Amino acid sequence: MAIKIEKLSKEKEKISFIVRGINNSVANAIRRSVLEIPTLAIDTVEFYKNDSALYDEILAHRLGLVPLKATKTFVQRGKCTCKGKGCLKCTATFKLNTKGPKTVYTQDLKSKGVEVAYPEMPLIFLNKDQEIQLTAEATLGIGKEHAKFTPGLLWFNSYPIIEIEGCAGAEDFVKVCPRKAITIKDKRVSIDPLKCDICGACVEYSKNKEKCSIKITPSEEDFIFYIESFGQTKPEEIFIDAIKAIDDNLDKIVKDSKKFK
Amino acid sequence: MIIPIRCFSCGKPIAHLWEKFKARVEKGEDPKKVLDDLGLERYCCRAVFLGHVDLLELTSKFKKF
Repeated sequence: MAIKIEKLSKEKEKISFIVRGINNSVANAIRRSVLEIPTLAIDTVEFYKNDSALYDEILAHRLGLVPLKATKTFVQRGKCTCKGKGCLKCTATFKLNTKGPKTVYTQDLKSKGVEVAYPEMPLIFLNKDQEIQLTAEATLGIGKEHAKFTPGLLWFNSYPIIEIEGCAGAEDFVKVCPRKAITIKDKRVSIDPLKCDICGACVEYSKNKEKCSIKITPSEEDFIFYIESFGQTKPEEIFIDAIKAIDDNLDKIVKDSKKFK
Repeated sequence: MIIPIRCFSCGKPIAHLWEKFKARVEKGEDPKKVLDDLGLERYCCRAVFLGHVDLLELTSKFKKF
């Protein structure tokens, strides 16, 4: 069966679509490969002064979780020509020098080649005469290393195959469905496959009815994908990047297996 | 203390929504409606907002060590 994609909905940071003609293991491989997409995040922080009420470690951890958007392309540090020392190709440096009283936001982080995805995140509160001076380094990493390097969430579920026989005029079905997926038109029961989560409530209910049978089974080749971006990239790019990540990993295996010849 | 940058459970960035949420709830809007408007669907993210108390402003008046 040919692989086909149908778009369902798209918002700024969310997308959902149906992929037809793949199988469960392929879908799951794509989901798992989101953890292998290289993403920017602050990795090391050096404090010169921190008078705030939070400890250095807490502030450093908060800085690490800030989603960063790259405006130029970076190389992973391990693969960089500087051999892991850190250079302009693989590292972005941030500076933060401020004095209270005020709330410090992520937009106060200054850097070249990188911008924060959300400028209005409060980082810390400074009281009168409290000061912060720090430099931070951001590098590319993958989600396997730390969750801050994940670009978003990707999940999927099977497309439900719905078979309805009889059930004419059974208006009480509408109340049974917890997802409100059942509608009745011209005395015929119909179930919206995009709202249905295969809970089986209507299937159970139909067993006690005469001349009525509903059967819902999860499809083994059609899947509904949902992607949510954390702000670093567009959600549709996460899907493509995840597939690229599988591709890269498989290439490595192919390269290594040439030893057998 | 201060609103977490990300949701504890799912990792969605939420800190930029806190000040909008706080301002609207203080005006007397229903927190449920505000959370829906801000696009927080999962109960993990919603719980972070509902349970949060800003204490850092108070704590910063005292000595750290």
